[in-house]
Amino acid sequence: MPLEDYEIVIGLEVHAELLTESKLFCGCSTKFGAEPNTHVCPVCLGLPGVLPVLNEKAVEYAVRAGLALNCEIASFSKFDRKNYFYPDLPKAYQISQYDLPLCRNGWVEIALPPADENSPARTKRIGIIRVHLEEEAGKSVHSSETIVGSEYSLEDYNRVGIPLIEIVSKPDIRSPQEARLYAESLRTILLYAGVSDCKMEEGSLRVDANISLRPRGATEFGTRTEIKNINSFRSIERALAYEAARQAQVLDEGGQVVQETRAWDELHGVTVAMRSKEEAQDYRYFPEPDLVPVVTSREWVEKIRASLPELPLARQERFQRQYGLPAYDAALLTETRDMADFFEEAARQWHDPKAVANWLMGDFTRLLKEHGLEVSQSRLRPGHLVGMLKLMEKGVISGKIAKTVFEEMFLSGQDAEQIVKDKGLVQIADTGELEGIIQRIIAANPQPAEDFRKGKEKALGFFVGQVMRETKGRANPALVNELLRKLLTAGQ
Amino acid sequence: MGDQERNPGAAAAAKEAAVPAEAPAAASRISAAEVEHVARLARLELSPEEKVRFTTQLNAILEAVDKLKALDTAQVEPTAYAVPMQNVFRPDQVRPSWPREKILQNAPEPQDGYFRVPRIMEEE
Repeated sequence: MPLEDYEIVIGLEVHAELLTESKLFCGCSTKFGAEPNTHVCPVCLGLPGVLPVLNEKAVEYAVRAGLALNCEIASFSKFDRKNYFYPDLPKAYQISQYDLPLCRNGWVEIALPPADENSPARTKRIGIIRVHLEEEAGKSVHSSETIVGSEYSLEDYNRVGIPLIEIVSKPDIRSPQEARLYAESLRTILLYAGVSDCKMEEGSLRVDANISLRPRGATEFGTRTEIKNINSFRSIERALAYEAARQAQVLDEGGQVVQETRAWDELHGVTVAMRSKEEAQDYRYFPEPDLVPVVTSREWVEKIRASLPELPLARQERFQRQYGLPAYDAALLTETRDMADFFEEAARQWHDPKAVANWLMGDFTRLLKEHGLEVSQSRLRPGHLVGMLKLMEKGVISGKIAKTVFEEMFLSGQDAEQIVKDKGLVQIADTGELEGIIQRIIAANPQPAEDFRKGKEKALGFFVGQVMRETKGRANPALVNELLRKLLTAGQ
Repeated sequence: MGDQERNPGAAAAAKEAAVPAEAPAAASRISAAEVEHVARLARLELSPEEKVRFTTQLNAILEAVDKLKALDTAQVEPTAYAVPMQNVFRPDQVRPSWPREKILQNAPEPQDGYFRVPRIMEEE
């Protein structure tokens, strides 16, 4: 049967590195990009005789994340050892949380795209089973392109012990697109909460997906596969769409889906089976004897809750209400807290919020991308934009010149007035000055002038272009048009 | 696993024999198969004699622990911890890591500042 007749059931496990300065159980730095094995100590390696001591900030960040994801915070929580052998885990166990995670029973609301332009935006709630705190593993560099083809691997343990939260969703997700939206919402929320930098390309945010199919209307879940190695938000959607189609084909052919871990192959756009486990995973979890339990007080939790900023979806709705922005603009501008703050600071000083939004979504976003900068690193601040909008409104500069001024402000951090003055960008709205220029151009181009007089409207465009070139774009466009028509027909 | 276990010499064999290799009692809590499973998970290679010996010893340990059941714990809160402590934290402060030479000191095959490890996955 076609894929549409199956219901897709997806749950995501998302790992996010927390923004602490030091590791979860020792004082080694968490900074990204250091020389291999230079942020390592005996605690990281699990050498005999060492004792882990819990980083308080990591617990605070995990609780903060849990609250931002609408979770209940456990008053009593503990750590457990998860035992397994893998070269990126020098201790041969990971300190994680098993039966008593810090946070449980949360949810995230995702904004689904409206069915069409005139429909209202829809939201859907995705449940979160738990958020727990654990330590990161190391990084393997394989001797050839793939792990299977590699004769040996090189291990860098700098990442070992960096604090991680694992966020486990309920199997509430019903399409690859919802999975992507959910992951993007998580990212936005964690960024707002200030607990992780969520850089998928640096591995500080990682997504694993469980997916199964069942005939529509069925209540039992089908057999699931777990997809790993998803390295971008786009891949979440692509990998799951591929896997859903693959499972549908297996089922249609009368086969059974094998419960296994599959790796997403970005290059070929397929998922491939990783070696299936000969025996069921047996992690032999037991309470971590080197750590004592964490008990959270209600006061502490409430203090953290009070320090959370307004979260993305709430802010998005307020932007539509308060500034009259379309849903699309509001979603784009609230994607990061810095951009949303930038918008609000400018919009507070300017009567046309939509104009502010357009500059931010257009030229500003483009320039940030071109220069590889974050909003926080921009020399152009909200005041600059407002200053420029004022000059536009007064007619000192045209919309076209404004683009030049904007880019100049972005590069130099100077304000619009200064740039317009220094570069002589003031709009020429002086009829006399423009008439002189236009007469010279008409005299130099008799043929197009003749064409225009014979009714060829297109020729006007030629003259506008010439005038703009001559004035370096500073001529007031409306005035140029008016004067051109007048002067071109004057001689008749 | 050390060479001793892989190539049990005469001395080791004599030592094995010294341990009474009695078969596990009928009421045994842990089977030889379970011992094998746990050994495999721990990447331990056991000789047939060792399997018998450890099965016996592990059962003896479990029996000893069983004696605790005689205690009345109805009024005692379950706990995973022996020490009544909680919330032992350190502040989020970076402290110097160890020099890389020291970190790699015990690595059998260091390479370019990394720990070099043998093939992780067999080719299918």
